[in-house]
Amino acid sequence: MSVTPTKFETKCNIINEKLDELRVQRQDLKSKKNELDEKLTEIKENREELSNTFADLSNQTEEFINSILNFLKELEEDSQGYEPLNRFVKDAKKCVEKINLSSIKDDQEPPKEYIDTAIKLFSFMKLLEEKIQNAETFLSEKVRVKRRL
Amino acid sequence: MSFSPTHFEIERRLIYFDKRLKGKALICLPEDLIKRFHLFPAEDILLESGGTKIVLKIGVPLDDSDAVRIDPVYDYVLPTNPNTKIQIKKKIDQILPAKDLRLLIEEQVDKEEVLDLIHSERLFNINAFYTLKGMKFVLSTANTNMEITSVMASRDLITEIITFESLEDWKSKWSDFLNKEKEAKKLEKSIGSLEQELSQKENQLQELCLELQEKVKICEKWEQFFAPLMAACGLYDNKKKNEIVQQIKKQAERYKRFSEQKGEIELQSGKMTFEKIKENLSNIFSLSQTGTDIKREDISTTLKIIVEETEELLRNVCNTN
Repeated sequence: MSVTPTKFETKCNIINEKLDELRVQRQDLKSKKNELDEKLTEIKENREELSNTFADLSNQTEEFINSILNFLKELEEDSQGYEPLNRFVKDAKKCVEKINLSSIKDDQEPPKEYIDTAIKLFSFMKLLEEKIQNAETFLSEKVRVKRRL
Repeated sequence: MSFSPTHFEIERRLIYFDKRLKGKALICLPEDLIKRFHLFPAEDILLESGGTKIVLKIGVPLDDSDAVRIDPVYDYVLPTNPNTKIQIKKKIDQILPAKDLRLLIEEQVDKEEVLDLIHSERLFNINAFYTLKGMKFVLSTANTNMEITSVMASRDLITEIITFESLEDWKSKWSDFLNKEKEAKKLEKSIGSLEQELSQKENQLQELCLELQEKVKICEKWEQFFAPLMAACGLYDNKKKNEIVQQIKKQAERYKRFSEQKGEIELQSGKMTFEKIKENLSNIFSLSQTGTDIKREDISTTLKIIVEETEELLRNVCNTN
């Protein structure tokens, strides 16, 4: 026979509430943990992707630089009869030869002279197009003069 | 009345077994209280746990045969001479599983108050008084003075009055409560480790974010290098490269040819001038034949010019070749 409103039951209710709260808290923490895990995985993947992209870019760039160096060598040889272009090609070749990508890493900034060289190379490629165009115009003009004569 | 911790530690393990209730009730009372108020006959002091019954004889040396004589249900008879209390405690600890004892007597109560109350109200029919997990319980029988127990409850001396009729139900509730408390502890522990894990992961995430930010910064720098290179690459692919080389070769060839032909062109141009001069000369001669008055000087000057121009032309041709 229970004579008082039971404090024990109150305590039971408290523990029940506490248990519910704890379960919710644990569930929240688990969800948060899952979210964090996902974020971590995503960031790790991003990091890996970044490293891979960087490695790919480095390889591509290295290939491109080697290829452009060969191209410039050919151009240097082939433009021997055309002095202004030949000089221009020689300068560009010197500039590109300064780039050495074998030792670069994605946790180090590129040397400033690499950036300058890349910009120069881009300008060179644009100028080369113009020069070829000019040469073509020049020669076409001469041929026209010759024909007229 | 005061108790030293050691004394209390021993005394609180004394559980009174009320014979009248045929082993149903358990009470925890200090030995001093039993002695002081002569609440119970000495031979009735019993320790019971997990079905093991032990009778304690206060101040009276007993042998095992006494136990059999007193009550054959007793498993052990231990003398409780105050001088041998430590040994008794050790023996009790050996006999009774500690967890069972912990279940029965967990927390200390304000004994002074309880004892005073028991004394003043002569609560001889309180069958069990014990505390568990901070709660104070009175296990009551049908003849328990409910008025007094209510007073105790109102004075917060007890948390719960449990009748023997509701004992089984209470036990199951208590067990449920204990399980829940255990689960709560487990959950708290699990939450603690989850929080720790989360904190570690958050730190890891923060470190990774910083690392990634750093990498992105570095990559942005590399982009300044790659972007013009790639743009240059866009102006230049293998097909284009071959075209450029072919074009350059062709143009260099044409330029060379042009340089070689330059002399010929100039020669032809000179020839044309020569022809023109010749034509002029023949015109002059024609004029002279038609009787026009031509001065000798004019002819001489014209011839001189022809010679000079021819010489110049020849020089040019020689130089070009």
